[in-house]
Amino acid sequence: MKKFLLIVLSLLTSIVSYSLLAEQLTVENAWIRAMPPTSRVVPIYLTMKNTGDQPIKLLAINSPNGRIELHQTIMKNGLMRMTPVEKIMVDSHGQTTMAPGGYHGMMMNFTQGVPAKGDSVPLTLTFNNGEKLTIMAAVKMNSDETMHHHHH
Amino acid sequence: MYKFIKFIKRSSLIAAIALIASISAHAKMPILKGIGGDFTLNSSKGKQVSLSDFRGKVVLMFFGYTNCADICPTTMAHVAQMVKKLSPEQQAKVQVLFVSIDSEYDTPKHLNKYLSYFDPSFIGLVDDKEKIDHVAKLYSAEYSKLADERVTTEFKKLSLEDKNAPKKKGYLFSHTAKIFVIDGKGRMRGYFYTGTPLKEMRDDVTQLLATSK
Repeated sequence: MKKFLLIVLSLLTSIVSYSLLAEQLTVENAWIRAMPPTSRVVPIYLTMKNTGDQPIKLLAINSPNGRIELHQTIMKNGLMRMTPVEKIMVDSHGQTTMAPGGYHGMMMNFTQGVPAKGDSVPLTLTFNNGEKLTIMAAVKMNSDETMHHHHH
Repeated sequence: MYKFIKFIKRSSLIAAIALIASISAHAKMPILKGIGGDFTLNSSKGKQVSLSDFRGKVVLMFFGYTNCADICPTTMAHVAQMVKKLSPEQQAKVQVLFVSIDSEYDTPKHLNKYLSYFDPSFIGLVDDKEKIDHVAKLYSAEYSKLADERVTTEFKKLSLEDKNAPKKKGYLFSHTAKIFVIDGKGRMRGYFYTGTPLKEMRDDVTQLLATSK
């Protein structure tokens, strides 16, 4: 019984702390592109919404499934290149989308193999205000895969 | 000074003509002169492939590398989606070529596994750097390898911490964003980009197939 109460209590605390943070910052549509099992790198995309009065910077994404760097694809003089970035800004009352052709997470050194289509990968986002947010990213072929389901 | 103004005037005129040309180019995809040409490279299907093998087909050619996390898979997925929207007859007349600019890492076998994931009909081309450079030059497909200092340091650090970490240096490529559109006679007809809407790509491919009969 005591154990049960403890579980309920810890569950409640986690819900409360989550909603406190969620009020200010939410992460949506996190997805990882399904790639061949021989891949060395896969991209991570998501949308961050900041309803707070302070701008927030994403400093890192961590996962038990691999190492992740924050990258940005830059187009210059018709040439594309990817470059590591130290932070990704989310303006106050704004949102930043990490999407193909722009900001993205580059995941590598997989501990449990290349994420396969249909998998869910836990990601922990660390922000400059000290907050950490853990979410699940869906592994799929394209960003609009879920949208198709809504249409039909 | 007068000469300079004249130069500006002339160049703006040229720019205007170029703009009009590019607008009509979009509508009709005219034959682009002075760019392109035949080539032969080792392929992911295990044998040499020449552009001339695909006469009668519309060829969509992209330069990339498999250790590219964002743009290359995005482009391949995008093109694969477009191909899926074509009729089976049209699909049989479209060939996607992925030219690897990472001849050090991308083997034909690795390329085949990579591309089959997007569409088994896609063919990867990889060969000695000089041969790839030659094709890149024919198509003005600029690319360069960037020894990224930060990535390199990061990898070095990792290999010290973890014996299983890749020993290879970290690297990134800078490469052209264009998808080269080549008609059934091996002539350059225009470009698509990763962001080109699927419908626009499909309409252009359909039109090229219809007019090349």
